[in-house]
Amino acid sequence: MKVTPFQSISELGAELRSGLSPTEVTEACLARINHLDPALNAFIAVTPELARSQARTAADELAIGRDRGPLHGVPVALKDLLATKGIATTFASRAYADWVPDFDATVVERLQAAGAVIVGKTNLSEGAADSSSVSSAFGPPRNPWDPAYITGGSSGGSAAAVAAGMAYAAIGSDTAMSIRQPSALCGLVGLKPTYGRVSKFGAMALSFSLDHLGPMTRCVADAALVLAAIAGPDDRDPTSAAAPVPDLGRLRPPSEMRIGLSREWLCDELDADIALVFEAALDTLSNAGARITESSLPHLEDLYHLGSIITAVEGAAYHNARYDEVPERFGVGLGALVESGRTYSGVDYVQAQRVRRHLVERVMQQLSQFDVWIAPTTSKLACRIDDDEPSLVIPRMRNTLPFNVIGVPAVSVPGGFDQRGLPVGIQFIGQPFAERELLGMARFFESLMPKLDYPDRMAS
Amino acid sequence: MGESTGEEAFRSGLEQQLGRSLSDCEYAAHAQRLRRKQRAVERMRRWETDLMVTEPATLGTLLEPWATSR
Repeated sequence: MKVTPFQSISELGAELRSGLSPTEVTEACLARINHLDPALNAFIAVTPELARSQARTAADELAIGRDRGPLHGVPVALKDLLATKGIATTFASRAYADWVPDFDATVVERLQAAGAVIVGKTNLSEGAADSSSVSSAFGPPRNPWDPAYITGGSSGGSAAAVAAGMAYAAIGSDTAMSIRQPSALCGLVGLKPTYGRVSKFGAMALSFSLDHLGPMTRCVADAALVLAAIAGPDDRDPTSAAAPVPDLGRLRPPSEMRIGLSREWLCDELDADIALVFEAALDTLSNAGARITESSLPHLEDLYHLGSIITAVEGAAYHNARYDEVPERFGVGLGALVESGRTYSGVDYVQAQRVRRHLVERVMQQLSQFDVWIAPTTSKLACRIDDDEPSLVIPRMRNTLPFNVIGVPAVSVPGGFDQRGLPVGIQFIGQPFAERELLGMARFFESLMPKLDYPDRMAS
Repeated sequence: MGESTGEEAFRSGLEQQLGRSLSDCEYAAHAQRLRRKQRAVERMRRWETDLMVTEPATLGTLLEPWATSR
């Protein structure tokens, strides 16, 4: 049977249960990686032996009627900050490039238990600490929609891998924007789940109290399938939540489809094309029966600044010993993060966490007035790789970082294109542990939009 | 002229703080971080008075936004 690289996981799953072999699908992905990745640089390491072995096992199991579920035999990619047993896990940094873990991260274990096939480790910003992935010690990943442009970051390689059809899903991490912003710039669905929903055991950290792991996929239903496989409590991660994982199989929007819209801060400094796409999305939803109400989410600017303090200090703490050992192996951006984080006082950090608790309670009083809120995912369009600069991180994360500080789930969904033909994302923000309702609304919005025609660079 | 002098003074102060001279690329990264720090700490301080009265947070709750729902 012929492999269709851009189909959804459920479409692929139907074919895998009708005669298509996981080994054929895996070989097709490896061939695409072989052909496309020299130009896109989405992967730091490709794992063909592991993938072929897992694909053979998946095929053998299906042949005897052992079906592990929706991800059985599905090729996926892992951001190269997730520990993988026997495979170097680099953080895209020369400072960590030699680390070969002797264990798998919990999400890796869970994906493998679900029958997924690991095709490789994806590129990222060094230490997950920039907004474009240009800082990677392995060179920048490139946007499949136009390789002259950034993928966004920090999960830029994960975004490029899925958008180019080299994997059916990827795992990203998100401390300030890093699943949602690259998903927006590469035309993907990117979900940052509720803090604690997905175990971070085995994930290298940028900021312990802001980091989240989640799926990056080509449609909302696929994000739900991946989340269902990786979510749930984990004794090895003290921040993982005991909250039960809901049935994510049937996604419906909340019955009254009430959506909150807070323009203050979230719409203050949008690039013109993003403003146009966002207003069109609001019209589309309203015309389809959603009730969008302008309201106010207070303190987002304060939360944004608190997030900057917390990231700098927790990031410096994570890298502290290694930076003392081998400062010359740290890139400029990650080195600046460590040195900057060291200059905050202990009082600054504790106060930031105290103010965080204080303001989150206030914001939640307002946020809970609506099942879902809507905002542009990012206020900045993708720039050319050559034009990237450190100060761009500020507008890139202003619409996403506040929701890491609060810890509520948020998802970016493709909402249209800018004048250059590059994707623009729309962000939906939900209630704690209400990923089902959040993804239901995202799925509803997705159903109103034209299906994305991903650029197939195999043809060019 | 004034702006350039201010930038030079800022760079000089930053280099003094770090104890080494910086390349332009390093300076851009550090300057961006320092400016963010200054704005963020100033913004946070506005809430400190509120905290003294109302916020008895302990470390057990600081790092877990949804600790109460676990």
